[in-house]
Amino acid sequence: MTRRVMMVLAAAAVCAAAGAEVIEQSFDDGDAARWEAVSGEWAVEDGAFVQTDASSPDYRFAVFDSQLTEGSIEVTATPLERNRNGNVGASFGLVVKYLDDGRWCAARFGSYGSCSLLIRGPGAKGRVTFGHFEPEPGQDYRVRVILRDGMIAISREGLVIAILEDPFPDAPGRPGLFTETRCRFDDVRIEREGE
Amino acid sequence: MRIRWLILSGILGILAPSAPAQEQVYVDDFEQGAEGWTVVHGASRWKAVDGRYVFEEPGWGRHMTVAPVRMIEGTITVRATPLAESQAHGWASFGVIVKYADSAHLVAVRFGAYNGVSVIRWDGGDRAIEGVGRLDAEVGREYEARLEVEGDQLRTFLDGEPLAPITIGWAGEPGRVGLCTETPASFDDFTVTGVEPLAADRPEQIEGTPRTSVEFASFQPDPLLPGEVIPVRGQLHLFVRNSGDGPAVLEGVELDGRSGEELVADGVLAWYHQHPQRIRPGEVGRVTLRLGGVSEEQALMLMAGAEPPAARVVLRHLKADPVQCEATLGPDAEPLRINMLTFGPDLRTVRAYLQAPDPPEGGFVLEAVEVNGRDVTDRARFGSRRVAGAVVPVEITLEEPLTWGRHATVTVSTEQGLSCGHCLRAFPSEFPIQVCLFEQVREDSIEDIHNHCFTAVAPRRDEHVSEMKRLGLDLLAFGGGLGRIMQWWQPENPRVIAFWLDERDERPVEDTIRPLNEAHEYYLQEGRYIPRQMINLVGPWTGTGMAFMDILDVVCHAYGMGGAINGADFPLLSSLPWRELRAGRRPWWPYFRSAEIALAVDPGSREVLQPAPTTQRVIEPAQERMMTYGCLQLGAKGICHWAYGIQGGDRSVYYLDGPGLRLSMGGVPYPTSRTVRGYEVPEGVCRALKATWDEIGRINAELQTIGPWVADSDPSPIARVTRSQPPEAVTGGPAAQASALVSGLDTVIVIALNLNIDTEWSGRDPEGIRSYEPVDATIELRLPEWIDPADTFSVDWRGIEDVEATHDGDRLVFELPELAIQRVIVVTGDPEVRSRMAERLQEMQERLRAMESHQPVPTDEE
Repeated sequence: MTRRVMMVLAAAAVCAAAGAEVIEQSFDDGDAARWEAVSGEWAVEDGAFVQTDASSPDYRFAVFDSQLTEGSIEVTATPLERNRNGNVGASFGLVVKYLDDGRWCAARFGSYGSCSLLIRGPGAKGRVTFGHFEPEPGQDYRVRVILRDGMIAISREGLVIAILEDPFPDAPGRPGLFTETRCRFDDVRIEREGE
Repeated sequence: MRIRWLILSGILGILAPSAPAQEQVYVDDFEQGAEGWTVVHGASRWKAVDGRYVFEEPGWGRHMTVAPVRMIEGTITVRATPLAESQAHGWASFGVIVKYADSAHLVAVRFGAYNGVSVIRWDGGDRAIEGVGRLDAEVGREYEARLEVEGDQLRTFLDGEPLAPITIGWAGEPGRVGLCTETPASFDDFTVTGVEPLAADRPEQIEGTPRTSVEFASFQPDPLLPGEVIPVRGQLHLFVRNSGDGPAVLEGVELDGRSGEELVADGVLAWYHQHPQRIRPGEVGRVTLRLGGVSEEQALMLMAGAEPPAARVVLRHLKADPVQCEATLGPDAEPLRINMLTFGPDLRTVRAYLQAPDPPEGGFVLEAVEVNGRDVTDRARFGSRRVAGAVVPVEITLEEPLTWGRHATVTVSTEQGLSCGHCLRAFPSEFPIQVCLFEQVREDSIEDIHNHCFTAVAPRRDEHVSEMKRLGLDLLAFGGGLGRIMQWWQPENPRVIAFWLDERDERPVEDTIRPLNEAHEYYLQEGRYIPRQMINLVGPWTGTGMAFMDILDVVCHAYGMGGAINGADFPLLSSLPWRELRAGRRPWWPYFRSAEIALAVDPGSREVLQPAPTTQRVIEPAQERMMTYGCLQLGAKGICHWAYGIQGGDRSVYYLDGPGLRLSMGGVPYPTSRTVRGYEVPEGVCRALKATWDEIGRINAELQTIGPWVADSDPSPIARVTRSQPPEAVTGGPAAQASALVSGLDTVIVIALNLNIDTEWSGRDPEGIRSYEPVDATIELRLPEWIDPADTFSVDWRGIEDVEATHDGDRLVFELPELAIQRVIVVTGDPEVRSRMAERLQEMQERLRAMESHQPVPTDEE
């Protein structure tokens, strides 16, 4: 399986509205140049950004090339299979902030049958689990995280299911895409406020 | 001429409806969905995909769905393809429901399960499984099953080959037909001859005309988990008065202009319901909507510190005009609450425990109290009329007893104009100490359990039941649903305390609501209410677990080692707000995965090998004791244990992939014998099991002594450790902790606990307790104004002793210079409490003597 990150200019629509910068990524032209695969096998396939490795129960994520302190990231995610290694199940999510390999947090949906915020950082390794959720492989899900005033709101299909403390409240971090199985991502929208 | 009913385009069509008394055929090719099918048992995850009806859930269980037709005599054919093997058993399967009345009365044929073809017949509490053939079902291969029903006979054909015929009963009786499976499978071309339409549902019968109004609304936000900052999930309670002359039955709700059904489909609501199901004329009941989250706009308002606009709610009751109200859904919408309702043995006494965590100056002043809408202020005794941060009991003595198992609603109003309420099914409050059973290699296991001061057992066989009856043990059954209730809740059996529904939050909440509603409705037709339903939740503190709280009667969760999750900061009282008691506001009976170990074995040499990675040792007696009293500090009102006995031998057991023995509690007949299933269990393992098992007996003696008072209590922040030496535990945090359980209007039980322990809870460390040094502690109890302490004493299994206390104004101060693990101190204004506890303890001490002297009796085959 090849790891392939397209190094072509992103087909990003950038606009500014009400003080917010909006970046949209549809991957229709095969371009994922603004994304860095931190782990996993990522490639653009059929107009979507796809993570293709489900050989073990690992975190796989790709992060965007600019940082977010306040704003939001949302995506349409389609888990393509249940990762049966370690009973992970179908899984997708959003990297809320990636500071470096040792400091990041991600909202994950479906892994081990639940929704949770995964936190990695000095003295902050942990997980806040806030509910049961088993996505169906092949089904589209729209998810979003909103960063505001040191808080993170996690939304699924427009319903905010948790508001949590930002573990890195004053530090900007790169938003991204997260999964633990084969998963397709499309129609990313990033809003950056006041930066 | 044939009448053919076709399901095409998802619509039931009658092609030739004018020919009576002819064979009628129902066909579903699932090309346009699965219209009219109803999931009736197991998981809900059936769906029509590409012209097939598919069940994909990989977990285990029996999953059933029925078609919108029934049959007396006829033939069912279906093409079925197993999609995956069972993760637990290693076989693939599919099945057909031949006749279905309800989940306790059905006939089904399963193909491939346990590598056979078998007919399952459930008739109330009786269940029979009879093999009619063999089948190692191949994943991906399509099979054709045909089942012919004539009179009481069933003939089964697989790919045209006849299997053994069988008598199933049901002659002349109709039943719904359908599909079932225990593993992922897909189905197509489901065809049934001899069908007839379902009888039309009888509409709910209402005599008279209800007239409903909302007395008040309150939003109960889910407690914040560590890391959460603003609650977005919770329960909206609407207290509804019926001033009409007919019962009020809830038909539907709307929230901000959207119907309840629509909101449930979108996940905004997990469910909505009304308790009791019929609010009688003159009564007040409670409608609750379970909110799974808020909109992004509402979330942004909350994050900005603003209050979202009030929610508009409409309630529609049968034969009544709709009622509307507005409700605030913010995080601070519940300044006063009833933490808990308890009920006296005759159900004529109700106690409400109130608290105002963030009270106004001077607290809330209680004005009036109602039970089921009737003003009982004159019949109520208030611990105090003022409620602030400490818990205040209100005791109500009713003229007539409440109905056993029916919801009772208590509402309280204040001078400040604020009201609060609670609604629980009425059962006499009690403190059960229960154990489930594995397989037994002792003849005397029930007697051994009795000697170890248990109150209840989940039996496996009839001989267990007869022995339980002889010894006066109650029945707390493992398993749930209508069939289990019919099996165990019988006059000839011991008294049923509750049913244990296990790990239900592994599946969506609707998969539990369905069987519970079925059981409630079945018995309501007889005018009866079903016994308590205890649900063991894997994640009681999450949004999913919280969604179960208002549909269960008792909340349960695993504590201990080997996969149990004690939760963050156990047992610190700082975690009380999000733990089971406060989250559920109903009794919490934890279950312990405690005194057990799993050992690998070599069936060839009959040697016992190493312990499983997560059961490197048996939990030690001191750790078991510390865990038990930690749970009591956090408000536990009963203790369950999983489980007594043994499992395995030449097969695998939980914790191990290969062959092994799982040994638990007193299951090994040691010291009479160390032989289990032909394996000699090491002496050290037997000693460790017995040491903890006997300590459980001693702990149980203490729990039985104080149990009735603990069952009728609520933790209140009126006790604290004012000094301890060392000040900090060896691993950090406080070295000691004190909890006060306010019990009625005359008693407080103070539990002091030594937290100076260095141990681990994963079971992966063979060392166990590394240190547990005593603590020198000073405990202070702020006496509630309604208690004039006439007696102060401590309780342990050795006896009851006076305790010296220093009065300091409204405070009692206790010096505990050698706090080894726990001290239980009873402070009471009722001089009879000591004698009643002493009487109970004396009986338990007699059992402990039997525990010490009894010689285990192995079964013949051991």
